[in-house]
Amino acid sequence: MYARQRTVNPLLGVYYGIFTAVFIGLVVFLLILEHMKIIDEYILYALTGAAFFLSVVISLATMTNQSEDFYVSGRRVPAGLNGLVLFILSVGGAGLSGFTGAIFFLGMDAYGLLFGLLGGLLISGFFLASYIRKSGVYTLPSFFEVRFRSRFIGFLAALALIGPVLLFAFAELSFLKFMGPLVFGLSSDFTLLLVLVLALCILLPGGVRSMGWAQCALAIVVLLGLIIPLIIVSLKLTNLPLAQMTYGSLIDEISNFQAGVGDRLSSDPAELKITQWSALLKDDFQALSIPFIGGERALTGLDKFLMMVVIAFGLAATPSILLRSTLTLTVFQARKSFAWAVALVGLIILSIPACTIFLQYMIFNPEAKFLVGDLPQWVQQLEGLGLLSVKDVNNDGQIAGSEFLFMRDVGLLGVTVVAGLNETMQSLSFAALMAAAMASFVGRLMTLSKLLSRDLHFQKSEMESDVIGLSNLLWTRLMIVLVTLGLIWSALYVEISGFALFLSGLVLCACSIFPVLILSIWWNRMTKFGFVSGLLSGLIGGCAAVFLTNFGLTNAALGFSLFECAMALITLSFVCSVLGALIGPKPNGADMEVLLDIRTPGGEALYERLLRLAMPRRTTGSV
Amino acid sequence: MMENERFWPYWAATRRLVVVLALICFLANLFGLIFSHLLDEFRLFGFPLGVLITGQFLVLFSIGIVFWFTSFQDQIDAHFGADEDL
Repeated sequence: MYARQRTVNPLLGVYYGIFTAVFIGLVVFLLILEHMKIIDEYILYALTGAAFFLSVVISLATMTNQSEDFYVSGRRVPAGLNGLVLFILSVGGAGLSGFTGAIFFLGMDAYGLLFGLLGGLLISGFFLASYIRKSGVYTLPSFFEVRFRSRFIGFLAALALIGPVLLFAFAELSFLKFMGPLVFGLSSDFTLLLVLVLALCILLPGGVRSMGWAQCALAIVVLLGLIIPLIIVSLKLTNLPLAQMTYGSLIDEISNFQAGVGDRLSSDPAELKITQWSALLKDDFQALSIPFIGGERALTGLDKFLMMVVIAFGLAATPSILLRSTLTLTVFQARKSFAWAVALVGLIILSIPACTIFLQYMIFNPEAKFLVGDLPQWVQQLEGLGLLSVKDVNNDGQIAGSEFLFMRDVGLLGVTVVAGLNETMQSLSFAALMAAAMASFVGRLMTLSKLLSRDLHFQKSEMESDVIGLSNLLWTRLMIVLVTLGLIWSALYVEISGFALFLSGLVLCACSIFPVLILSIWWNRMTKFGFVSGLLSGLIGGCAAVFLTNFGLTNAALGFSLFECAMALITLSFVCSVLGALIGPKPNGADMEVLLDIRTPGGEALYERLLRLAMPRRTTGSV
Repeated sequence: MMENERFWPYWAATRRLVVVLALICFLANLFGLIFSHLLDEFRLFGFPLGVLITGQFLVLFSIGIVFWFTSFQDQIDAHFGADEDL
């Protein structure tokens, strides 16, 4: 179907306007009830429940049995709403919480992670999105299958992608499993059961279509839950509502503490790096020991550079993110949706440091004295949530500096508690994190189900399965159920930090898929030999690096960091791809024709044309 | 699909634009990441200058660049007759 024959629903803005108004209305209603002391418990359940219930309603309302709707949302998603989903898939719950924790503990050193996020979306927007959209494929392996005109290449790409997508899915599950008992007081098993039911309710009715519209709703909840409480905290601390613009004035005010932190740094930078870096990926208590700016730093310029590049390459090659470009009406809309995603991630990058500076200011304000036996209420609250541990180590009757031990997730969850915001505002930020994790989880789940049901689909080519139509949808739905059950069951036994799994997934994508993906589009000479050699070298090396570091960031025994190793592997994968392509046979005329078609934004999408051409042949064959 | 005579000039213009913009963004962010702490002694709008550049200006700059890219790339598509009709 041509773009001119498709139309974007003109009422989409109205629908999401209504959703936003209903959710804000609920927040205001709960604020009134709380103020009147009619309700002070169950607010968190009401907000989180409402967010998920409305998402499920949206999913059910967008039920479909059309193949194009189920796999690519009818290619009618407007750029702005697609950007919203891209934003939530890029950060996710584990990432959002982990990045805030990284800025809290490492200060400016952790900006490499945030710039990696931004860089990944920029690379996708500049180098990849429009070409993936023009190919019109339903999955990333089928892009390689179409590009190299080889079923084997598609199969190999699908095998390579299972690892990173599993890691991303487990990252969110691990985070949800961690948050359930922490915030809601539910058992881990019951939390996972709820996640199972929700995921199936969101995915089964309409696949990518129902999932995408539900993710939009959840992304709105995430934005509201992050920005509104931050505005109120900013008003309390600086009298101005623009948190992103006002936190700078507080950096100087906490400089006394920051200087004290600098003095306590270990004299051995290597030891400090390993301690701080590794601790960041464990769900464990740790003291703040690096100032936000100034003083001795844990990471060098090279570390920050590697961090930025590896995260950016990994994010750019993440299939759930890249495939969102195929859902837009046109190539122009695909580029624009990444621009919106950059804008929204930019807003989060502006907000995260504000959040951590506000938190550090409130806790470590030199004027604040915390006497043992007269600790403020937020200390008990955070201890109750399992985010803080205080111990008067030197027995001076005061709690100060390194006697505060924090969990990594305190960065985002703690700011509303320490600022003394009411229950509704605290619940709003908690609900936002749950919504982020859930939205990201269903996205990964759908990608995994598509990989297993379409790309590892016996000997049949993906295109032939699309010609079959409805039975293929049933097969994918069955796979969604099986994959969800399998993941939830496995998650009962996974005890690795969600942020560690998220970073490991990015590293695997960066080492294995990114080099071959870039070369497949931007290098005329790239061939299937180059693809196989580049993919295998990066994938094997990447898996080895992730296991040697034991889902951490460093291997103390071997003395390398995960990002150093990943950068070497990315280079190796590029070199192997180029050598493989140069040694093997040259691409023929048909290969070049496909490549040129992918690079030209005009004309019918390549996959749709191939599908159209395959239809009559199939019909004739069956007769 | 475009004919070869029109495709290669179009591809050269696209490649030039993408590579130049990506390089600018990469170098700007890299500079901010590695060297901005040297500017932290100075203050602007209450912020240490290094924090302001890294945490604010570079983010806003990247957002501006990517929106400009989408519109300019569309102009290139139109100029070379590679307009969309998917």
